[in-house]
Amino acid sequence: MSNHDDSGFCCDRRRFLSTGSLGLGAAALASLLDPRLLQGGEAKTAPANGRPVLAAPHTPPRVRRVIYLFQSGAPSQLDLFDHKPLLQTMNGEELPASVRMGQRLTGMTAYQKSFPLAGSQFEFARHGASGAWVSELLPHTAKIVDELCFVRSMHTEAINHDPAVTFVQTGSQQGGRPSIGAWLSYGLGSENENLPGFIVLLSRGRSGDQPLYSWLWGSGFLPSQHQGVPFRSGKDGVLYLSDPEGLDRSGRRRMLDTLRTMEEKQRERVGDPEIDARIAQYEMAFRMQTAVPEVTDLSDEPDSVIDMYGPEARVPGSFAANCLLARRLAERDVRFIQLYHQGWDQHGNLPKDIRIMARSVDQPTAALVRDLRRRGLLEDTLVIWGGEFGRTNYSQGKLTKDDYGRDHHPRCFTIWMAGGGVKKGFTYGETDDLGYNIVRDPVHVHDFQATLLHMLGIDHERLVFKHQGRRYRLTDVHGRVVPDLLA
Amino acid sequence: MSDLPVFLGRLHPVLVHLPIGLLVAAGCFQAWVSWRRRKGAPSALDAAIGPLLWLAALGAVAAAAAGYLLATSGGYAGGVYDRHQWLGLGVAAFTLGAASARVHASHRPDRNARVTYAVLLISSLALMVGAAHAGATLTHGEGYLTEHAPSTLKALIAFLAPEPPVLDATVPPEQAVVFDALVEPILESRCVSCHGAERSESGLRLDDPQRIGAGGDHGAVVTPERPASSELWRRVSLPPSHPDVMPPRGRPSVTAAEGALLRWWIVEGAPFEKTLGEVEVAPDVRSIVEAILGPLPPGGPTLPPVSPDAPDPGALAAAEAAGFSVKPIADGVAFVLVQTTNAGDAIEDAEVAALAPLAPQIVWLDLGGTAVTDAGLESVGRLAHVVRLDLSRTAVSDAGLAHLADLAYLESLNLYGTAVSDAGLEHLELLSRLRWLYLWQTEATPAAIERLSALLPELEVVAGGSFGEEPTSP
Repeated sequence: MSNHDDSGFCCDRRRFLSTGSLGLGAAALASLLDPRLLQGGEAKTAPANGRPVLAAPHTPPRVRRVIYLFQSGAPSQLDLFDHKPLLQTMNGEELPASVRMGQRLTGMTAYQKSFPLAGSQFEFARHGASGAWVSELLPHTAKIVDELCFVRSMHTEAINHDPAVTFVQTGSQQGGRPSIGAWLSYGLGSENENLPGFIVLLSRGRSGDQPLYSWLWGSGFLPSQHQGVPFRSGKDGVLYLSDPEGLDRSGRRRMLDTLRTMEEKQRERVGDPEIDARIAQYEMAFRMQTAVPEVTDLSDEPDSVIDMYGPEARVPGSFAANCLLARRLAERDVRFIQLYHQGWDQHGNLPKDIRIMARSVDQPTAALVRDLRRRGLLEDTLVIWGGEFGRTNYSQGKLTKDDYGRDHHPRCFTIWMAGGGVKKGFTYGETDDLGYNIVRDPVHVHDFQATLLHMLGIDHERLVFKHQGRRYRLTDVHGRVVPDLLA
Repeated sequence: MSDLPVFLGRLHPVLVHLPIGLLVAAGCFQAWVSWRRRKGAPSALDAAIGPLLWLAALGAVAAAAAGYLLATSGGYAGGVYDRHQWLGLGVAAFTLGAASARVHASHRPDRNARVTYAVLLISSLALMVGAAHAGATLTHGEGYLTEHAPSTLKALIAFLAPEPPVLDATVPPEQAVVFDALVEPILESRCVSCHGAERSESGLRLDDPQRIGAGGDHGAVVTPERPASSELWRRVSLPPSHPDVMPPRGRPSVTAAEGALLRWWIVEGAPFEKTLGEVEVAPDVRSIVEAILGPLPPGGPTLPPVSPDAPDPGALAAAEAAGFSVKPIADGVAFVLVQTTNAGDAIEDAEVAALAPLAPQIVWLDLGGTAVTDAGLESVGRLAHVVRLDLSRTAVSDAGLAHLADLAYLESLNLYGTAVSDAGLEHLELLSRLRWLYLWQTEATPAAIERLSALLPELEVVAGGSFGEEPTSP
């Protein structure tokens, strides 16, 4: 016999004690004041399963979906976007103490005897009508700068990869909180009945870089159907989705119906809301059995489109293929499409490795923006390109004529955004002449998150979830919308 | 650091209430005794009046002395303070006088002595009422007493002492001056009673813009754009138990909404002249501002300048039954977004016609990839408030676009992947608000696009190859 004989799952000790004593009286009073409450009216904090917690966004949204091209490992802003001629002139000189101001460094370089400034070895030029600086590493991106909104003054609190990626994605350096996509799925729900509202696509530009963990697309304490669903390359887009040989679709349907009857009985008895999440996930999986193969099958894409994303677009699981897939998902109104591209952690051997990385993202990224635009999707889609922190202006390890490395640098980094919500051909924020500190318009990770939610019509202070007695939100207790970025 | 005069001065509120009570008691006893005496029945209370009066006089002198010390410790000036000072001194003097006159009258029972005593006692009571009210005004601020009075009483007071009119309600919110409409009332209600003309603690006055800028004895209190370094915001944002908190412990503190407004005002550069339309209304203060000044024009996407009623539930149900998904674009907004994500080609012209009852509310309409044809566009053309219209990958053609000529608010039109050609573009020439037109994979020629762009200077046509040098469409 099961000993799960009470409703302990949806009522923890704290809530029991705090509401139990007042509960009856409060219920009686509330029902007198508003009789609908006893007739099963809408509960404000616990929406019926599958229904989003917000009936509508707080304000009219500027964008309706997001494609986040996360560059994991932290690309060097100094070699891609943040042009510092002085750094090139002072190449090899010692990092002035007046610039560093005693700020902490990672354990990897803190004990270096010398901090030689490392100017970028790559040529920079202004591009487009907006005159944005982009290095020679990104020739395709350089062609779309008039669509982009650069933020050169991003800064974060974390100094190591995992806490920093987790911070950007969940608003906390420790894993376990819901990620941006999960918050959006919880808040706004999924537009497409046959696909989850939060899909994750993984790729790597070179081997041997920082790993990623599934909590980055986890739902934390939110109901678990809001977690990101990772799509894989290869035969099964989503693991365990296809029916085993010999089981046809009607058999699967009957099985799920029987299972559901049993689950509902258990739900009545035990009261665990996670059972609802499980039913919802089974039903979604059933619908995805046809929707996923349809969306991942690129055979209906003309060669001209695939070629635009570059030769790698034909290699399943590459960043290019994922960009093309992201566009297909956006067309199907998937709300949050999260790409992770690994390989940007250039502590050493930077000039060689960053070339490999830049080549793997440049053409597909530009193609994605252009493809979205000509289909009219860029008007209400936000595309974000960026990593978890920046990289140092001094060399990690020995600076030689043609080699240098860069350590982690949380004080400043560059990201860009494109789409209907943000200004086009615009550069925001500024770092000092050596690219070490921000001198104008800093944008904290929480500010970025608040702005992102704002563009989707969500007030970051009002999308909250009460858990263990505290109201949590993506931006913790911080964050300020940056109005200057908004179109 | 100890400072005995200041310490003694701050005993003023402690000392001041006892003589008030004693004096009131003496007055009441005297009224009772005189009334009984007139009936020929002397009262034993008579004996208590003398000691009460002497104690009251002593207390009044002590309170006045403490009050003087408090005033010298700074921050007090102006009409109300002067009135309080002179009335308070008057109370002390007249109470002393009344006590002495009573002694005098008991020794020499003539009429003059009794009248002198009565006049002095009544005067000291009257002065006391005036002094007490002036003192309370110094502490709690002007209008504290009657703020929550019944409306009839308020009307009476307003009739006796008319006040200048307040904000003009006819000014649209975005033309309201931020400082006057949103910040000054907070300073007025929370700060000015101690930092104003009557009393300016620490040399700080918050009752007019120049003096706010000048700061107090300890320097500036507002650093534009930096709330954390602005003493004005730092002090009011401290926890109520903090020794530096303002208003000081025990006074009603600044509410969360007021704090948010002050912070936002400083972030916006602490302007005194700027109107609401000239600053960014941060989302966290938007609802607060709207609660005070009424709804603001919405930020973000363009919407028609009309306020339709909420959509009819029957019409919503009919649209959902036809396969559409209809959602409000935002909370409390009647405008809706219509999507066909989950309907695909189940949407044909007949289904589109079912949207007619939602015409006032539909602003964004996605019909991309549906089976809509030129005939269906006739129904679309009657959805007068549509701002964004997606007809991509449908069978619509040049003839159908003629139906869209009346969509006065149309801002974005997506025709990619349709058979539209140059002839169709001619129907769009009068859509003066059109800003985005998507023509990739259509028959439209560069010459026709150029012609349309010349007529509609705001228009951005996306034909596929409009930026970069890459080839675009096959």
